[in-house]
Amino acid sequence: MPVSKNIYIYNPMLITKKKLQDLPGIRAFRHVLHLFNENVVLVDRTNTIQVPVNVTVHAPIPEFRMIDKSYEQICDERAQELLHRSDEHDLPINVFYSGGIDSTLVLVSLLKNATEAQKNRICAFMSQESINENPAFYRDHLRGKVKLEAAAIYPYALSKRALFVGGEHNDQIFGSALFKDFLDLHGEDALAKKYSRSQMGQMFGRKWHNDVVISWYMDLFEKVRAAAPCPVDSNADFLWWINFSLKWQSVYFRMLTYASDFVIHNIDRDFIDNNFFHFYGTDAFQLWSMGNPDKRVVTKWESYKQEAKDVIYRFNKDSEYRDYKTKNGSLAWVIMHQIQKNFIDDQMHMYMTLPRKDWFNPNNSFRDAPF
Amino acid sequence: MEAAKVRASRRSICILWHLKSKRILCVTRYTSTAQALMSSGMEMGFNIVSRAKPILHSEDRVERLRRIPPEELPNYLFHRQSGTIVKIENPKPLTEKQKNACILLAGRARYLRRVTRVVSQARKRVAPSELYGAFVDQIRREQALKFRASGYDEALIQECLFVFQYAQVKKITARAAADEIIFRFSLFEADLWKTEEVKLKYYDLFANAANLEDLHDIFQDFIREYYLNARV
Repeated sequence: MPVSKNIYIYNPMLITKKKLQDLPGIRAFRHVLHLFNENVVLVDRTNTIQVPVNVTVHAPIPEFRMIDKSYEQICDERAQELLHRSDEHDLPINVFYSGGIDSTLVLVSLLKNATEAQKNRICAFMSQESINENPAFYRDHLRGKVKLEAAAIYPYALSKRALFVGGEHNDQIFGSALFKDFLDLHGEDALAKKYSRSQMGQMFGRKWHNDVVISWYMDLFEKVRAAAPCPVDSNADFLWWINFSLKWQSVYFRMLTYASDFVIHNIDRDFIDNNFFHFYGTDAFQLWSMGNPDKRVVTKWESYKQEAKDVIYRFNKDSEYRDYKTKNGSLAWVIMHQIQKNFIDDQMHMYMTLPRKDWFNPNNSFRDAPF
Repeated sequence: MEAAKVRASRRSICILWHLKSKRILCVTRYTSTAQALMSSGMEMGFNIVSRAKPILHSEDRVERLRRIPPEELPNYLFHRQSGTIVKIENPKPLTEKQKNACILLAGRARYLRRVTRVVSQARKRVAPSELYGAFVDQIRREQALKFRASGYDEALIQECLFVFQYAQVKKITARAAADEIIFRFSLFEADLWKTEEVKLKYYDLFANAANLEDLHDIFQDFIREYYLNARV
């Protein structure tokens, strides 16, 4: 009996293609694409939801405990750790920079903590959109100050001759893009209020337009909520927890899926342990997030990630960016039009296609859904 | 069906026709689409840009061919020397195989046109053609590379006017200007490069598709890879 693969990331559109929709659970699972986005991959870090793919968790949720550190302190410690690693292995630090809040804070943290010699080893991988999104930062802190490369070529640049640092996971630390939908629908005080299944269902109704689907998925997500090791009391907590527990792994691996055939031999466990880092992907950030629900909740969309914007402001004194910059899914500009591998397994092998027996999990939580 | 030729008029209509019988097999709008159809291996030919003259039996311009159902196209002949298209009075009946081949060719051309159109749209965003900007960018980048290769020797001012002009307007050093010009051009190159890989891949896939169902499946994959994969 052949053993199926343990999958880290899969392409949800590929496994829910029309011709596969008669497989148990696939039709119901397909609704997930409408809730988040077409290429958001669910892997449940609480092990409550069994998706129709043989997934395995790469980075479990850390055991909950309170930590007595500020967000800025954790950013500084992370930057120092990466700079030290760069010194130790004599490797440049290539930062994926979009001009958005997350990657700007990565560069701010590195520049704040770097010596002049270390700054010379920092290279920003960026695009025209990165300049457009934060022109002042480009003009004052990047142009002529650090090396610059075109971000679009990163699928051919991944190697063990550099550290690659991205601003991924800060959304999972601070909440969810669904905060905006919830605020738009229920008003500025709604996120801070006690979790309301009815209000949440109304928001999901904008995506699904089907009461049976909404109710079934609400039951599923409430099971994930019940598995949380920390309080998930408010509407904001609920949306954050869904994002934190279900989307984390997708975010971890998604950039790697675009790796060129010419560099995938570089991408193994050693690479992801020692060369490829999501700045906010540490236990310290996760514990800060789990222990500081008040820092995550917002009353208006402009305040989303306020802690992060405040740290940036203390560095560049750009009050306009602090007060008006809002989240903008900037990764799309880099990966749009690029060809993606559709599966990565736990051996870090990448595949465009896999035989069904290698990925399909018939014992999934979606197989008995009444739709 | 093993040999056909492609004709392009000034109105960007391309015709694929059977080399021996001269019967028309497919009409498409973009030259690049016709090139991709030729690369499928089943057809051979080359582009001839014609004079813009009425060629459909003096009735209409060649554009009319695009409105004819693909399975009826072989009822028309293309005369290469005169550049005219003539309807056959009593055509030899077409076989199902020939009809299906024409429908498939037309289907391939239709999907290839869609790929061509969306890739062109994406490129227009990064390569607007106003003010001969592409020429300026190219010259300025060559001068910047020359200036950098000289070790930023400011004695080259006469040979690198675009670089020094850029530095003066932006109020930065000539060295910073050269570095920025080279970097910005690399962004432009990267954006073009990004769309090229998917274009290469899908031109091949569409041009070699075996039936209409495959064409549809390939198009779904194209939409996924070109747009939807980025929705993360």
